[in-house]
Amino acid sequence: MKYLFIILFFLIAIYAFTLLNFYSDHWLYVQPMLIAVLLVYYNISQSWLYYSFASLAGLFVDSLNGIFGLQAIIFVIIIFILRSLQLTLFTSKNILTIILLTILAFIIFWLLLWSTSFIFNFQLYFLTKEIFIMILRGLVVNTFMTIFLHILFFNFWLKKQERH
Amino acid sequence: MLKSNLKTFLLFLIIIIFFILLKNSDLFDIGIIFRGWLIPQKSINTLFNPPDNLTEEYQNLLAENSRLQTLTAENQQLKELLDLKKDKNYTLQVAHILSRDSINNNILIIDVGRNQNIEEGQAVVINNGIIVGKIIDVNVDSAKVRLLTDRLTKLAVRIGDEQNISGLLTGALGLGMDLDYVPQNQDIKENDLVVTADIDVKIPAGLVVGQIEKVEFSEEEVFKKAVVSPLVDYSSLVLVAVITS
Repeated sequence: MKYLFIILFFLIAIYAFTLLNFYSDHWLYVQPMLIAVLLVYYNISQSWLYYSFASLAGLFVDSLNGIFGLQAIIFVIIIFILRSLQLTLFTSKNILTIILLTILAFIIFWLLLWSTSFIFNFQLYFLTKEIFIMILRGLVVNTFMTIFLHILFFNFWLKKQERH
Repeated sequence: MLKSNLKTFLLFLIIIIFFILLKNSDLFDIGIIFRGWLIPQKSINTLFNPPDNLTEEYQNLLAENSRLQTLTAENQQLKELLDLKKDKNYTLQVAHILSRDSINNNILIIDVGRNQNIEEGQAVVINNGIIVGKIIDVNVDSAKVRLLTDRLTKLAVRIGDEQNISGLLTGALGLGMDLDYVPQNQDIKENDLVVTADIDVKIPAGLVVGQIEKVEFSEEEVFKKAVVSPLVDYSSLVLVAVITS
């Protein structure tokens, strides 16, 4: 069943990604693929599964993006950092931990993206005040979406499965 | 546990790097599989024209109507491109927009590439010979286009009816374009047409870029500046053509 859930999440994320890409500037900083990667990470326990999902989601985004491989590597690094933090600092699985990890994940995403763009001089991405404000707005939407979907999934699906 | 996490991370990192190397050496591009899935606009049209609680037949007709409208618009654009090809004797390669970059939406991914003789620096136009961007990178099956509104775009242009005034066009944060390096003694005014100059060998001269919206003039400056507005809405582009020769 979890495999079905993963495939469904992947398809929904692809659809949301394509829509946002075509239809608005302001919604560009909402990252449905990273939201899906985080949701899979929070709700699946097998490491090979969430790492595979992160790689696949990243490669999908990269196949339609400027720099091939960039987001796939960033997604995998994010999962690695989150997992390491959960094994050392944030060992509990309460909602506050999830909120903190989600915010941290998006901060790592933007930090890695801009720093690699600056270091390797890709000539594609540039940071301005307007873009920074939109990223901050996007951060709020992304975090809210991730937490909301996680709570929904956790309460209506995982708990039910556990009871069964 | 930490060790096992590190091992899994390194394994997946190596796999991704392996795919990057395969793609860069033109052996295998996993992106082709993903790009093959996408049928531009089709799924989006269905979502934005959703058939609601009507009869099934009416719903089918709505979907059909939406599909036909898309086809009509596409047909019209293709006809105009054909006219452009006849008039100017260009070799055009028609392309669909597959996606926009998820961070910078002034970068487009189109469904033609090296297999269709696409090269870096070629001009990307729409129906009436309006230039919208330049090719910046080419893959086997796809290419990247930088729109003129992108901040890193630079294009040599000519201005005015006689078109003997030259300037340099740059993008302005995706909102419009800025015109710079226009000599102070040259007279440019609002609504003047801006067209491509004949400096770049891969970009034909005379392709329409936009119209001057505002002229910024200061006696202290050596050159005049102007704001150029595009003639088309870049956010609604679906079909484009690349001038290959």
